[in-house]
Amino acid sequence: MHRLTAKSRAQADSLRHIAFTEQTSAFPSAVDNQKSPANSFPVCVESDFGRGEPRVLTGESIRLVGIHHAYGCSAAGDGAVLRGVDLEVAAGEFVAIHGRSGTGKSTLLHIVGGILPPTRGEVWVGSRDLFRLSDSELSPFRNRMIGFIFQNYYLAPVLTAVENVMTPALLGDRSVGFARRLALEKLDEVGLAHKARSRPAEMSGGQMQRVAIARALVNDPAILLADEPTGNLDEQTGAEILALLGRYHRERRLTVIMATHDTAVETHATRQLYLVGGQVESRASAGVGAVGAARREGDS
Amino acid sequence: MKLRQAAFFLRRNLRRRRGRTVTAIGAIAVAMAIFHLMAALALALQSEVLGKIEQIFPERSLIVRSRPIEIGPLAFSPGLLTARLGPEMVDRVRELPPVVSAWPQLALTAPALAVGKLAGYEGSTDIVVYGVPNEMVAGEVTGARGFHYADPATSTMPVLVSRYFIDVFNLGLAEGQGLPKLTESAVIGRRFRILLGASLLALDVKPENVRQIDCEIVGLTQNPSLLGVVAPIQYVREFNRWYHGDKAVETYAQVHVVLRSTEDFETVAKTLESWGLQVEGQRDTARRLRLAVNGAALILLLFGLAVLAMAAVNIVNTFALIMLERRGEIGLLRAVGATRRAAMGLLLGESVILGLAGGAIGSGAAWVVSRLANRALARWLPPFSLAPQHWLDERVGLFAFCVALAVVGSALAAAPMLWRSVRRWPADLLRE
Repeated sequence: MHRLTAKSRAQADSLRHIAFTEQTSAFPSAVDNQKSPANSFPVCVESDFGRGEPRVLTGESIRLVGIHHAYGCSAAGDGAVLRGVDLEVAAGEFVAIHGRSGTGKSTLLHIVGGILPPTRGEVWVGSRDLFRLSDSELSPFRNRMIGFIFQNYYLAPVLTAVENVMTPALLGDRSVGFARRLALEKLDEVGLAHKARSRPAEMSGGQMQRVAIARALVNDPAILLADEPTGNLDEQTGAEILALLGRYHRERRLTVIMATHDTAVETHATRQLYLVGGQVESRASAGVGAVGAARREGDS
Repeated sequence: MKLRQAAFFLRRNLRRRRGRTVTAIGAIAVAMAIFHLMAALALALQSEVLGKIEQIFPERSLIVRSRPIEIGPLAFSPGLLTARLGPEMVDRVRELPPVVSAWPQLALTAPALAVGKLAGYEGSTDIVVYGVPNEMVAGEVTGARGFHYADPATSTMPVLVSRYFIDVFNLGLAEGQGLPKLTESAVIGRRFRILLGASLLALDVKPENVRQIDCEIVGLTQNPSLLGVVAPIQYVREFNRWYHGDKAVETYAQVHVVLRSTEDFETVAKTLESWGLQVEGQRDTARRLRLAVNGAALILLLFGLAVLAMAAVNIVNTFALIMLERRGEIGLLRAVGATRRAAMGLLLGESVILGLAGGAIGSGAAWVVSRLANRALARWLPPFSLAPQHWLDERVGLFAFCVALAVVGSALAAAPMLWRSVRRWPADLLRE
């Protein structure tokens, strides 16, 4: 198990300059039954990587309203994988989405992440309706607010580990030197500093997934979307990855939505959801994550 | 995305996909090299040969002679029965509005023998001498002596000789006899002597009636009407008077007329013919030659374009495959925050760099080959007056054009597939 060192935590904190203020959900809730106690989670204000531009990181809940999605036919037809999903995820929650293969977990994550438009419905992050944003608004939003971890890692084969991690930072117009420093810090945090110059082909599945996590976190996003991050890993490596994500969630107050088959996630998630028949069913979690969330709620 | 960040990705992608980068650059380079060479050949053909055609067969020029009287196979130009081509007639021609200039060409009517040394051998030959005004040949005079009249008793007579004599000497006599070849610089400034009234061929030569004239070659002429030795017209006029005395009549062998435009050709020709003169134009010859040269240049260019088109099909396919293979990468870039424009710019940038490198290498190599070929051909081929200075065009503009063509072509080859990819949602690209 890799642990965050005191030094790397201090470095990360110095970069984020997080301050907290109280904020309630920025939009009227249409799905009150999904409201969690973490809805009133504090707003994180971060200086924009030393540029002196404060940026609201969290405190922006995610709300899905009537999401339908179908591949290759109409939303109402047989090909629909999502049939009117209504969901609200408060800032700082760790939501695990379970479901059998093909039930639309990945599709749901892609829609939340703004990389796939729903056939019907709306996705709100804070006061933004994601799919009403133009490409020049949505892409930077994805870059700064959302970290994506894919089951198949999707690392660029020609880039080294550090270069893969640098990619979102460079796309966010960080200088090459600064992006490299950030990437090395993230790799250090996930315990892969020694593999910084290795290419994906020279790494194991677990190592590649750690690089993917580092990449997802390099811009200090407010929301982390993980699509079966342990799906291709053995049990022990999977547990390590889950622990790593759990720790990030606890220590950085990330909003995490994870699609998974892995029951071990119960230890970390604050809420367990099940995707059945194209719709979401909720179940309260009694795991450590829930305890942590409750503790944070008390702090705020 | 800023340039420095884009350069970061471009450098790594090109360097670490070395095999593909080298293949793409190589394919573009070969295509551009062939196209460059074909275009260089076509351009040289056009600029060099068309220029010479214009010089040798100027379209706006016509030659006017007295119309001969034809009796069976014989033709006479007695001057009594037809219009005499004298100073008055030249003045009349000059007064025609479309006529820009009319230069008389006066033939020496006395026998003349040239005596001098050529390639180390003393020799003598009968020659034809013409007199023309200074203005007519001013562009061809290069010697310091100039082409003006001075007393032949105290000064040399400046003369031009036909370039074609040098060709005949170099390609015939010098080749056959193993003599050193003549060059323009070796001929200009050379002196020889003309014995007026002397001849190796004429039977009625009176040795007491021979006058010796020292001559200096001041230039070469490529006017095909001036085959012989050409001197300022005042000398020829004076020599004719000296040889024939009071019987000398100034009748010109021909008059060189330059028109305002080729459009005036028909009108002027009709007028002159109505005055009893014979008119010979070179417009049709020039047109036919120009058509042939342009046709040949066009064929070369089309061949170059055909090669380029075949290469383009391969390059488009290669680029399409590359873009197809990299859809996942495009999807990932888009998923982690690249705008459509940034993703398009990155991959299009790679294509542009491949085109730039391929174009520069191919076209640069072709340019070097052109230079070397021109030098080798200049040394290897015997010198002759119609030889172009460059067999392959060496202009840097052609290099720049080929590089620009390669860059634009590469960008266009990659753009459609790339555009189709970046337009799609990242998740769709990742799923493939």
